[in-house]
Amino acid sequence: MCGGGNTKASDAAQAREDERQAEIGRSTSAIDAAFGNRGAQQEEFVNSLREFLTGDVRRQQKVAGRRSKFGLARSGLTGGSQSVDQGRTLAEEFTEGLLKSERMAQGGLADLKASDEQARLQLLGLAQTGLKAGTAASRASEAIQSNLAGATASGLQGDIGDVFGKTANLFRAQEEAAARRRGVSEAEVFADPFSR
Amino acid sequence: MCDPVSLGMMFTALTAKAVNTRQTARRQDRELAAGIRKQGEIGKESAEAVNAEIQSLAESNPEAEKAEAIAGFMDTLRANQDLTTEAAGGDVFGASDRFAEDVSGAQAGVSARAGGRAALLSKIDAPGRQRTREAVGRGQLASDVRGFADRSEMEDFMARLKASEHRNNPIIDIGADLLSGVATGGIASGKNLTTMFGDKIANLGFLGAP
Repeated sequence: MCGGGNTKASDAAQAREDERQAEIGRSTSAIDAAFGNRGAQQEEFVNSLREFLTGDVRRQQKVAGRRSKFGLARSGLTGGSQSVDQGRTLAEEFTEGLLKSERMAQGGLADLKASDEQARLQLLGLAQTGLKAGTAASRASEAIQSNLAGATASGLQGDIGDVFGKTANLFRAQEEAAARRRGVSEAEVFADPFSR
Repeated sequence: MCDPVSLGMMFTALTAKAVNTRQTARRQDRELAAGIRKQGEIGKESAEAVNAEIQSLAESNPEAEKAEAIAGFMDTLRANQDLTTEAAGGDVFGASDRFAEDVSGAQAGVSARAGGRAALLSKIDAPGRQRTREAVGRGQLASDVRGFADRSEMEDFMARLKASEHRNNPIIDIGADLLSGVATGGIASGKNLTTMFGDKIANLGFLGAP
């Protein structure tokens, strides 16, 4: 006899659910749009990171090239096979450095994108869960708070480091050899001032 | 065997009980509906908070962080300008004009390079700081949503509690049970209540002549 007695509550519940679903749809679209517009920001970030890192590699290449030129000249090896070998090593290390810098730039971009994606999913979770269940909202909240520390994009993780490690050893050896030669020469002069 | 008084009493008892139960269900229904509406209002507040965060996110850019970072870098460079100048080659007594020009050029080059690197670093660091700021906002939103969910849950509990407090009117139920009991008893014992109370009931004008 009282089968129709729940009409008002069920109507209210249905209206609330319809409204909730519509709100979820609107929020989801808005979240996707907000994160979809981040391409330019990400592009600027990766370009800056790339320029910063490759700039460092280029600077190191200039210094290493200069040291190589003077080292070879000091040893009298300019134009010889040693010069060719050293030039090749220098060029290889330069390209390695460039690749490493690009890899780091791409890694930074991937981290930034992952951070944005994590944020998007967290927001979607909040928008979709809403007040459906207190426990679900609590879980979403705790997940976000625990991820807060890791939410930052890693950006620049260290610098490019010493790209020209191998050739640096060669320069050092050449400089040491040159110093030894100079020392021997000066010792000879000291031992026999009339020898020259 | 037809006993209109017994049948009437039974019908009255059943009707009274049904009406009583229906009214209770309606009151409970109203309480639950009011609770759902209140939860809907809280849901709207929560959705507004989420939308405000989405709006803030849509407008978010790293410009403020970039400006802050570059200001910090430039302050540091300025604070150490004298040492930078000295490192790039200071004044040498008796040196040629060409040397002075070269030193000046080197110093300018160092400053320009440092400025360029500072600008690049600020562009690299700013997105990370922007995302930290956004994560803090998101954490606040999550906390707010949890608060809304708690309020909604409490509202649901209160609505159910209030609904459960609405019960059938016991006097009507007892009266209906008594009436039904008398009618059933009369039928079971084979006594015709119409014959017993016919005159009195006829005087009330409910039924026709006994």
